[in-house]
Amino acid sequence: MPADELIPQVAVLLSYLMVVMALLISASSTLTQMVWLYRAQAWLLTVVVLLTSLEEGRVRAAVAALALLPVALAVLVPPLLGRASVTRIRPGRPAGRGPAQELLARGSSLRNSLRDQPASAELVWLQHGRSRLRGGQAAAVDMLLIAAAVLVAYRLIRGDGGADAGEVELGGVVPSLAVTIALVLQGLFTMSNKRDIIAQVIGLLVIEHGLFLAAVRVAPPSLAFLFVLSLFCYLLITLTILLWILPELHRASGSIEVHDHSRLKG
Amino acid sequence: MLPSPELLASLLLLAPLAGAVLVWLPRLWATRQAGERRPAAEQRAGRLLELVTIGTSLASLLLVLAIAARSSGAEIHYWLLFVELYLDSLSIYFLLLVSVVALVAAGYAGPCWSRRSGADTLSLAQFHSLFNLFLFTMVLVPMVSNLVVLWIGIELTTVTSTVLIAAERSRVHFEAAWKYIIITSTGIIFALLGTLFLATAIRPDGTAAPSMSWPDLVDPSAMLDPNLTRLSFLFVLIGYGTKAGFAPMHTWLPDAHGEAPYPVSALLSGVLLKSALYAILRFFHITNLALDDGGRFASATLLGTGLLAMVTATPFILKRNPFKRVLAYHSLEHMGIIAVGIGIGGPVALFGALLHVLNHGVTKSLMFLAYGNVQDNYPRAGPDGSGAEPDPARRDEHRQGVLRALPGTGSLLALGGFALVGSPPFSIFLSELLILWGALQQVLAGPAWWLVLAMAVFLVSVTVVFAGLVRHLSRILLGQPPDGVRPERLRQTLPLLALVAVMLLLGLMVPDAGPLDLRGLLDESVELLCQGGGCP
Repeated sequence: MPADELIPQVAVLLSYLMVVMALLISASSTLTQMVWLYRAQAWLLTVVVLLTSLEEGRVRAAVAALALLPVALAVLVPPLLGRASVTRIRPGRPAGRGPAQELLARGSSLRNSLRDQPASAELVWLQHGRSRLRGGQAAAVDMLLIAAAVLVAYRLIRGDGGADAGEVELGGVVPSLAVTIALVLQGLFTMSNKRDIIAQVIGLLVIEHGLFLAAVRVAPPSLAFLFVLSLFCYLLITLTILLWILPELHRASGSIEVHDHSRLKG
Repeated sequence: MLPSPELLASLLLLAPLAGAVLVWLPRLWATRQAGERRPAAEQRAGRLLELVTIGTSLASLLLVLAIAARSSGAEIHYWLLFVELYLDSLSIYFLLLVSVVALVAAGYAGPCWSRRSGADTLSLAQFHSLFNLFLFTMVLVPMVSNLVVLWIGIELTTVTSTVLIAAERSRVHFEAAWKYIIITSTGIIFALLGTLFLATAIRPDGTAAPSMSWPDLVDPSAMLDPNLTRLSFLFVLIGYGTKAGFAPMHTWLPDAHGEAPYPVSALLSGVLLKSALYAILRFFHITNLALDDGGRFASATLLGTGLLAMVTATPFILKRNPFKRVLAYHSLEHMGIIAVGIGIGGPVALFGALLHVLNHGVTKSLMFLAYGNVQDNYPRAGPDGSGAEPDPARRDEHRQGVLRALPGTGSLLALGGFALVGSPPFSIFLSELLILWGALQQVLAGPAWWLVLAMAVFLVSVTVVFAGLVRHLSRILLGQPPDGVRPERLRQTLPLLALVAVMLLLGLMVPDAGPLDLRGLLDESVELLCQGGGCP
């Protein structure tokens, strides 16, 4: 089989594997498993993106640039989640420091905390990650969501020349659209089914993977650069959550359980 | 002689960015002062920061008025560095809303944060800088032409506003900010997917590369796949609808609006919800043109969304809740009213819905800022005087007797409350009446049972909400105030009187002369939306 036919098929096959990984993430009973699977899914996405950049008709530089994002997430997310899982007392702001000194001090504190905490985070991760639904029920919901995603994708593009038939082969778009919708739905389900905020963030990151996949494989190739740019901007939100809100919320409440973060009611 | 509209638009975009940087200068100057001169220098720096923020917002408002006068109905279309900007009447109308609310809120940002800032919170300079950055992101949204850049603008509003919501850095503030960022960032992923599906819906004609610029997408030559356009609109409605506070994705709204510092709450409710609505309106226009179904699909979807928001908000407004949460649920109700107005369609209802955008923004800012005066002047702890952090649900129970303790603020709250529930002669009454009149016109033109049902739900919801708010207001305004309430200052009430004047003016007429031809802006915006079949 020639390489220009083989590459899209391998990319599609690997994107199916991403759905399987999302299924496993949803079925995991500890955060340790979830984080490991998330990292594996991010590496898989990197390979899919790189393979896509080799396909004909793609803007190679733009698509390959997007591979930086899942690589960055695969490398950075686990230690950042670990940092957020371990409570620590934040030192007060010392008087008389200029903004530049403050920034430098914070950067150095972040480096130290990323280096020091993995072992203690492991302990927290092993104790968390439980689901609201039982394993079988959760798996059934996941399978239903995947089926719904496939149905929607095939119903939308039936190979009648719709969408961007001239730019991308429909055979590539339909499975990728199905995988995108499946990852979004599975991520949403993980967010609502898990009992702790770290697992909720992993659910959000799974949805994000669906978005990355759509940007490289579903969007018309000529617009790929624009969507890649938007994903780099989306990283700002991910970093705000991972670097600031999540650790601070844990510090303020002393818990990562969702039910401990429901003081605001009504 | 005014400069060119392009230059004015560029300055409008740059003003809040400059403000965000400039606020650091007084701080730097103060940190360089030695020993005993330091406290006085910091006080002076605080006042300077306040002036920079007010100056930025004032400059923004003046620039919007100048752009409206200079463009006189013509579109402004140009590139600023790598960003394609496009301003038409609808953009200028939303920019007007942003700048009016921002100016009044900016007047309260300084006093509010001087009282709240401490070792554990955002510093004064950080707060003012973020306030200006937040303003920048909200100014950017109506100015961009590309739908992906529009999404980036909305996404940036999330980042800046999250930090502002959690500015006090206590447990409840982080909880509110957490729910806000998790729910809205999930939402905006849907919005980006919707935008991406729209990109996929473009059928290339072989002559030009597909463009995500909305003026190109509403061009009659643009060919869009109907199935993917429908899916795109649904995803966008869920995505931006989450940010606009539509039910059932609204659960972040009472927490974020309830816990943010009150000038930020005013911006969140008065402007940010509308920025997301602006994005929905652009997709509404594109979808109507692409489907060529007389606006049936998008209008019906928005009508249902609006009714759901109204029905969801009503019981929560009746419930005994902290007052800022009640106001937040009112925002849900009013976003529902706006969506119902757009969903009903037709020139009259669309005019009413767009007018309601401004009316709600002005009235809701008044309420949040007036209640901010109550928060600032009443003692912080409960009536027992204990310093312990009270249960969030009960923490404003001691705030009673506002009319007696703070007569100016109490009167403003009463006036704002009556305006908010749609009493004449205030502006919300007029816009709600126009929406109902638009629906009635269509019912009289031909049988439409769903519109009769929508009108019934609308009327019942508005009536019940009226009773609910009167109950909440009487709890706050009447009764015996606690000891230790500080007397109000003229500075706390004067800017709000200006808002009351705007509410009264817009309740009597929509001005078509003077510094701004508001009537013309609205008429042109309605005409634009009608192109897509939004006017059955």
